[in-house]
Amino acid sequence: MSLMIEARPAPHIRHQENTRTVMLDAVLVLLIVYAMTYFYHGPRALVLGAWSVAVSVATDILCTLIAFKRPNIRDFSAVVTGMLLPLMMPASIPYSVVAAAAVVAVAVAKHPFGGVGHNVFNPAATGFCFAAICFGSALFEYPEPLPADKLPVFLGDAQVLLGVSPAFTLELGGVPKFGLVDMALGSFPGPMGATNILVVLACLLYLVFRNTVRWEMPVAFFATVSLFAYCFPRADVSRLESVALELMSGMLLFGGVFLLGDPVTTPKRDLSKVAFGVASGVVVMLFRRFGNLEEGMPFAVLLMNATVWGFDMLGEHVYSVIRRRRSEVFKDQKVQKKA
Amino acid sequence: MKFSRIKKYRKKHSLLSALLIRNPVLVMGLDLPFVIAGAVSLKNAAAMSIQMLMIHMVTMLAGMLTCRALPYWLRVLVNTCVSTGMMMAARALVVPLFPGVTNSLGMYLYLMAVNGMTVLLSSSIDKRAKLWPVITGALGNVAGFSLVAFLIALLREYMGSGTIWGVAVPVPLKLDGLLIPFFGFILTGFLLAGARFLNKRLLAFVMLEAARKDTRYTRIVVDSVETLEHFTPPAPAKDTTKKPREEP
Repeated sequence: MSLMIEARPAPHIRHQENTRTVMLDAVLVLLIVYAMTYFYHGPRALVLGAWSVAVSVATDILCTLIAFKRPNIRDFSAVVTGMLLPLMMPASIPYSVVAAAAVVAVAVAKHPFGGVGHNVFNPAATGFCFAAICFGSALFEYPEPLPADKLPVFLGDAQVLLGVSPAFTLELGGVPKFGLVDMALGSFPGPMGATNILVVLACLLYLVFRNTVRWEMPVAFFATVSLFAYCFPRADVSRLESVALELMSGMLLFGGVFLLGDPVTTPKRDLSKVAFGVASGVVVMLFRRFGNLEEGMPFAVLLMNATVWGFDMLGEHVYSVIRRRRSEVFKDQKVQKKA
Repeated sequence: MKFSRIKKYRKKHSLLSALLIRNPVLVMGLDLPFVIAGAVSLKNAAAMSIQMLMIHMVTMLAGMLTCRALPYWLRVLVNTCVSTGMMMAARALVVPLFPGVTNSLGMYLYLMAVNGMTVLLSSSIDKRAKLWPVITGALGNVAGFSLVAFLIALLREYMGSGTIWGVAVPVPLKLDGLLIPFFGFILTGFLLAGARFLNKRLLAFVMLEAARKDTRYTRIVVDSVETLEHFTPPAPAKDTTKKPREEP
């Protein structure tokens, strides 16, 4: 019998799922969200997205060239970062703010840590936090959706009808004036991508179905947030209403799906994911309750990203204890059988 | 690698070495808090540099004296006392020069008395150290600190406040976020990466230049990129002198 050995370079075991497919899944669902933002805010939303993607990809290529590496835009990681950023901002945001956030996201949060798959902090969350610190006033002024005149692509001196977001009302201890159906459909002022609640939920289902996002983490996160909102309502409403308002206001749902669900900046083990989801839920709600900004979600995400290694270690420790116990039980059974 | 060549290069470019290769902030990580939290404007950087010059130079000289007479634990105490005294003197000079610096630097103005660079280097002076190398080394350290502080302060003041030395200048996009300490860390990290890159390139260039003059290397040009390859040393010439036959 002859043995054929063929010399080939690594990797030798390939899987259908790789960085590109994961990122393409994200791009696909984000395109659907962009379709909704076009419906609510007009062509400006699409132009903002395209501009952000262009700046992110250009920064990514530049950073890769500076590191004397070959640019690889086919992994779509910069595209996803670029698409996420404007969705967390109002439709009236200036282009310069989006560009600054995109540059920071790629050049500060991604490449200094080693590029794709090595970043400690979520790039999009970092870019948003930087923009929130630098341009807070512009970032939290939300235009009304479905205006009589759609937002022009270049605002110039155009007047924009601004509205009060439910997150801001809750921050002040008030009750948002929007009905739950309106909120579920996304017809209220807020970050242009994060308001489309039903679409974001559909995106979550698709990502979980495709195994791009594991179900353990979002379930644990949303369950914790709901429990927190049920026990400690911020507004003078019933407990169940408080849960619905907390889940649908601001960036909580969007962040839970796209920021916390980032496979690079979440723990690896299932048990760690559950613990991470629970801890993130508590931190997010604490930020909402005691923070000064109406959008504490990205800041909470960054804080939790820094603790991922701890959750990984905890998961490994628990699994090693379980393995040890199992082996001991197995040995005992063997001894008993022999006896 | 020929370490003698690297030593020669470092000796020849001692100022460059102090600024790049042995920069106390970028390479040794000393005095980072002052650069990260304090260097938000050029005036702050200037005030910190003047203070550092006075404190570090005098404390290093005091360290030279104490290292011969006192045990280590007492040396650290005496040097710290000297640096604190110098901080008070430097403060008296700096505050009239830059009136707003007390508010903008805050406690960092006083923490200069126990800055890591001065405390560490003044306590670790060798007993056999000579005066001139200690003075030049201390000057180099201060220059290295000042370079980093000025570079970071220039960028942060221009981009963050839209001013240079307190004078308003047009800036395309004002980024207030650059003034927070987090971005001080990030900018210092970028500067560190730049310094390492520059250092490596300079060293490679010097080594290449030296190797070009060396006959043991040969030049190879592949795809218009010149590289040098080490030749195996030629075999020693055969001994042609006839040896007397050994008789059985």
